[in-house]
Amino acid sequence: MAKAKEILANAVVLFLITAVVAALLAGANLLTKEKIAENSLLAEQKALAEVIKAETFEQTADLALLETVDPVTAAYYAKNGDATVGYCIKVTPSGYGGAMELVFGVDKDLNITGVSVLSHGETAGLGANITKETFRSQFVGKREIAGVAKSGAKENEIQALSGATISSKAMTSGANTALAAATFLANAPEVNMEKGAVK
Amino acid sequence: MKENKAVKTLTAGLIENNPTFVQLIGMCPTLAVTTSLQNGFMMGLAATAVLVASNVAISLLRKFIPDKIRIAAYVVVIAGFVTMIEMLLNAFMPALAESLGIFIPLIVVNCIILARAEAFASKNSVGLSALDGLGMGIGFTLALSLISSVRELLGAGTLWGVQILGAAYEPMLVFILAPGGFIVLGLLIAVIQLIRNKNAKKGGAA
Repeated sequence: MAKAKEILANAVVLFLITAVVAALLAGANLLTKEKIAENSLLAEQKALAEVIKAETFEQTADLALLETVDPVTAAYYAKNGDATVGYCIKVTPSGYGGAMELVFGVDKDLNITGVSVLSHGETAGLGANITKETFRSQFVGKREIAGVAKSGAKENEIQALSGATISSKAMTSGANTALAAATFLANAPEVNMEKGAVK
Repeated sequence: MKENKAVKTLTAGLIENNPTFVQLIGMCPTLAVTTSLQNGFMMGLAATAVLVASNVAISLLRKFIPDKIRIAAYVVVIAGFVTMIEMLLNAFMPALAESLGIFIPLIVVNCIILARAEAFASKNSVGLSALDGLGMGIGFTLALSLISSVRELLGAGTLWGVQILGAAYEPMLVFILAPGGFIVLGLLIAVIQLIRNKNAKKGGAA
């Protein structure tokens, strides 16, 4: 009898503790939900502005139609007023330490204007150097990238980071996916996320 | 008498009972995040904040939590705390949240938090528990900073991202990979043990 009572008492205390913690978490969530969404929107806008110069960015709804080999997680039209000046493509190629999230800017002539690393799981000191300006600037101006070279990279190749060939290859593959997606967007009618209409 | 105990509690975690070099707990995050000084230091700070908060919470609840379910209760409290801190940081200090990144959720699985809750906070007053959390946290941060300084300097030639060793220095990559972590950790434990032995001798002779 006493044992059953003890088990019950323990269960009740555990329930109370988890209930209080759950309530506090729900409260914290309510308090912060909107602010977090706001912050991530701002961060996204900032990341997009880093890779291409434009006034506004409009997200496209037509991801399924972007016939690329690797998936594109988001695509935006970069605009000055009503005119599209380029595109921002978010890709997630697999690096050495898992998927990395990159955003590429591509202008109307289908040259890469910039690349930003949003997140990655590469090794510090090795693959993590893909975030360095000196590595990323290699992508600017490229129209198609044949591959990665360990030394003596040609005009249409990327010089790999020493000791981080896999990370370099991943970023290059992301670049080619972005270029393919931008090519598609350039030749297709515009479909925006909010408006959902064809321009 | 009372002040002595407080000071002792606070300073124990620095060398004599350092969680990393003496207690050998929290090894997983230690080896994983010490590839750069910035990572190590940030992780230490974040862990310290959670340690103090969870020690205080567990100490407040210690008379209320039955012995048989204490581990489950501690884990719920700690995980709850970390999640709340993560939400608050993401909402009101997004820049800091971004630099701490994945370290925040990693703290939940940091054995040090659970170990101190079990070994100290569940048996001591709130004040002392807070001091213990602070001392252990600072000790942890110092240990992480020391290890990552060595690893980053030798393995990449930089400290906190700033190039220290000249271009002529060919970085020994092994130090920022797993084997290097173990080597540096082992050697530093030996150094700390040397210091502790010297302290013990001094204490015995005096």
